Amino acid sequence: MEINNVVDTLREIEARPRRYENIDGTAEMSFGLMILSLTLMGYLGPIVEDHATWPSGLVGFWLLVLGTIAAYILTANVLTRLIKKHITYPRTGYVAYRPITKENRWRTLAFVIGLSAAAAGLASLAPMIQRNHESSALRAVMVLAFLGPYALLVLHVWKDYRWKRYLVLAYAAGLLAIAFLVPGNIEQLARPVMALSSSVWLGSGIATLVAYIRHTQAPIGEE
Amino acid sequence: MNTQIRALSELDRVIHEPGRLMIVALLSGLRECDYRYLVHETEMNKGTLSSHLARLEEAGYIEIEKTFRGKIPRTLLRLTNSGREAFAAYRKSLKRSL
Repeated sequence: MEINNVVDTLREIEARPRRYENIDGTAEMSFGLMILSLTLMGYLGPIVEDHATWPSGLVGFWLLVLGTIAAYILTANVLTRLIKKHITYPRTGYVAYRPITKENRWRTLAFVIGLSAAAAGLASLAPMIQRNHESSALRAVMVLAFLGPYALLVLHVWKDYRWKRYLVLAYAAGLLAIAFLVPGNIEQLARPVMALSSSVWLGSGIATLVAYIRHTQAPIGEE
Repeated sequence: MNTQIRALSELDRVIHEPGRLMIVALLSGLRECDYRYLVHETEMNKGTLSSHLARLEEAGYIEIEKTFRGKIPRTLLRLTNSGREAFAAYRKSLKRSL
C-alpha cells in the first residue's frame, strides 16, 4: 500500500513539468491564436476574393492560408517567448524540455498518424452527412471536436483552476446554442463556432496568466 | 515475498531519500532547468535543496552549471546519463517490490 502510494506520487511529480508549460496560460493563448487565425481566414476569404488585386483561384486560397499560418506562428512564438522570458522564468524558474527521443519518437509518430487518420475520417463523412439535410450529426461532431480538447485540459488542471469548470459549462452552452440556432451549412456554422472557441481559449489563457502573476512574485537578487 | 524484500533492498539509497527522489523525478522529464524552478516545485528551503543537490552531484547523478543571465547569476541543473539510468533502475526495483 505504502509503495503503491510512492509510485502514484512519483507519477504525479513526473507529470509536473508538463503542467508547467501552461502555468502562465501561454499554451492556451497559442491555441486560441491558432483558432483566431483560422477564424479570420474564414472571414477574410470572401473579402479578398472580391478584391481585384488578390490572385484568384487556388493561388489566392493558398496565399491566404500560408499568410494566416505565418502570422499565427510569428505571433504565438513571439508572445510565448516574451511571457516566458519576462514573466515566468523570473518568477518560477526556467525550464528546457527534452527533445523527442528515440524511445518516444515512434509513439509521437503513431499519435500524429492516428490523429490525421481520425481527422481525415471525419472529413470524409462531411459530404455524406451534408447531402442528407442540414447536417445535425456534423453539428454534433463539431461541438464535440471543439469542446473536447478544452474539457480535456480542464480535467487535468481543475484542482488548480476551479473556475475553468464553469468556463467549460459556459463554452458547452455557447456551442450548443450556436449548433441549434445558427442556420446554414457547415461553413456558415464554423465561423461563429471558431470565433467563440478562440475567445474561450484566449480568455482562459489570459485569465490563467493574470492568476499566475497575482499568485507569484518576481524575486530580486541572487539565486 | 523474498523477491519483494530483495527488490526493496536493491533500491538506490541516494535516490530513495524523499527530497532527492522528488528532485530526480522532476529532472527526469526535462533537459535542464534552473534552481528557481526546483525551489518552486519542491517547496524546500534553499539550504535543504542545496544539500540534496550537492549529494546528487557527488553521486554523479546531476550536473550543476553556474552561468549568468545578464548580471543575474543562474544555476542550471540537469540529470546526467548515469542519473537517468539510476532513476530508471530505481523505478524498476520499486515496481518489483510491489
